Amino acid sequence: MGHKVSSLGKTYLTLGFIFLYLPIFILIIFSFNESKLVTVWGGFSTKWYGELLNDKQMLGAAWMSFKIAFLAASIAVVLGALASIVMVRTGQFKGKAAFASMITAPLVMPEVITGLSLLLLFVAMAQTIGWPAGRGMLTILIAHVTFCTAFVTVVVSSRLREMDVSLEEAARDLGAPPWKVFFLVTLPIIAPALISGWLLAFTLSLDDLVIASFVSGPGSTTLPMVVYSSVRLGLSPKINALATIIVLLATTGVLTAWWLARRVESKSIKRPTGDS
Amino acid sequence: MTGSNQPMLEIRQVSKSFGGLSAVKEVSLSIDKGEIFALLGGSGCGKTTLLRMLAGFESPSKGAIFIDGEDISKVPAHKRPVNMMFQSYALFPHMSVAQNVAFGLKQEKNKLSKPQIAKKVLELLTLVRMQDFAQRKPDQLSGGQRQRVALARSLAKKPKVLLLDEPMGALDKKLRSQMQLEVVDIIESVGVTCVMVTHDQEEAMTMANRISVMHEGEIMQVGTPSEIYEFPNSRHTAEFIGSVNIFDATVTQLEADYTRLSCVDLNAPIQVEAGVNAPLGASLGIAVRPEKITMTQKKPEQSDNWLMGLVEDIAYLGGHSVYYVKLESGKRVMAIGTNNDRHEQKVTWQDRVYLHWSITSSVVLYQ
Repeated sequence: MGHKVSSLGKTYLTLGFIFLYLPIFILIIFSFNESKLVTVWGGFSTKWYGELLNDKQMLGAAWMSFKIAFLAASIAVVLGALASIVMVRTGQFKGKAAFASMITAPLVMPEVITGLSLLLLFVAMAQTIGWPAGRGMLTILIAHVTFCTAFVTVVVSSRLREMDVSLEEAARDLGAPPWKVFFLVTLPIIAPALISGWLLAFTLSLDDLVIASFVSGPGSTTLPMVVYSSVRLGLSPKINALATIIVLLATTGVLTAWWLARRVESKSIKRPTGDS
Repeated sequence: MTGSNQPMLEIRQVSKSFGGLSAVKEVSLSIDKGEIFALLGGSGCGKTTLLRMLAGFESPSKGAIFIDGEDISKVPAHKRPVNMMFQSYALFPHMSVAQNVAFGLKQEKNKLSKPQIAKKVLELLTLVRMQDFAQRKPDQLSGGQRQRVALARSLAKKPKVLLLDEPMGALDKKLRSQMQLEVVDIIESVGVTCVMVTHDQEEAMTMANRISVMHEGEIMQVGTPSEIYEFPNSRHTAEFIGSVNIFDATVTQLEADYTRLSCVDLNAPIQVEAGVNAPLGASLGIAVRPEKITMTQKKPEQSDNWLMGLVEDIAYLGGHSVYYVKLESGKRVMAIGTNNDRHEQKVTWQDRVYLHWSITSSVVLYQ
């Protein structure tokens, strides 16, 4: 295969990019729309950004969503890492297969069912043991941790499976007790998987509408819920402004991650040739 | 080898079974201080399991392991005075060469100070000629360089016993023979007792002082490389180490200075040295190494220990050629001829040749 892309290939590539990114591009353009009507261009303006900053409800929901996503992702990484170690590193135990398939079940479970079942659980718990007292941020957080843990487990356990077990054995052989082996060798090697698992969990939590709608209570409205309800009442160009900011943040995040990865790679590219 | 008569490593009737399947059966070995000892065998013979029990990654189902007189069977891996060089080298990818070598030193109870550790790391890296690579990461090194770092790392804590798991397994053939000698030089200069596991007989014979041949979890034979090669005690050992011709023969005559046997494949009787521990009529195996056989085109003068056949195949290997001679019975016999003369090419395919050997060249195999 040559390294020049044929003109047909270029056409396909362009069409692919247009298909993927044209909607987002239009959204960004319309976030600078003067007009109150979302679909009619009325000249350039940044007024919707200003209005967004004054919308207490929207900002509050955004803050709530970020808090939940941050906590849910952090807890899910810890639980997911522990589950992965149990699945990959411990020997055979009774119910191992059941554990492995059940921990990843939320991946394939329809969100409506997850949300409904959690709602029923929380109601029953509140009635019997009085905790959690009402539905709010805590219940959303618990719900998000349950499905985020499943995703983190998949990412981390595949990395752990790839990792050469003799690295851990070498550390033990050199005198490190098991807990030190974990912190000095296992953890640094699976760190990239933990980071990507965290990012994945954060995004999923930030994005979730269905499960949050089931288990939220008054005063705990997340951003997707606010956006969804305001869209039903009539689209406001404010949403475009909000979406543009989110796209900008996401792009910055992805570019930073890519830049970091490339820097690590280019460091290791300077390898010597042959044996000295 | 040493003044003290206590072995550095003693394995006493160690067995290991995995869920009813026994991988190691009643193995007993005694290894002296400063010895390089090889566990040699095909895959699944239990050699790796035995090595892992020495390292502490597996625990014996039965028996005990003593290092320097101390029973370490129940000591966890991180507290044993044993270090291992792994087949994959297992260098920590997130640490530099120097950090890898320092890892073991940093785990010690009475930890050395930072400058002391740095000094020791430099000494070790100088020993393996890697001092210029201290700041490199493992993935910036070639295979041979990685092996040297792995060796330095496993020597850092001055283990009483050094374990090598298939030490040359990850290297290409040319680098292998060079590194075999280099690794032995380093191990001998340090004077550490060493147990290595390999499936490569050439590697075991090049590197080890003594070899133990393992088969199906049991030790078949223990001895120096030449003992094992020249005096194999079983068909398995004879066939596993080098090439060999084995004739099935029956004892026909027991004399004071020789024993005579008959073999259905041969036209002449076989004569071996006296001291065969078998009665008349017993069936034995007679092993003759191909390089001990002389090939002629004239009938030899001796009455015993010769055979006649047609050259079926010739493998020209440069320094020598291997001739495959087919007997009337259909049995194939291997003989090696040295190519001393460049123009000499006397024997060729389908030639009738006579092979003969001396009475001292053959080995009697009872099992």
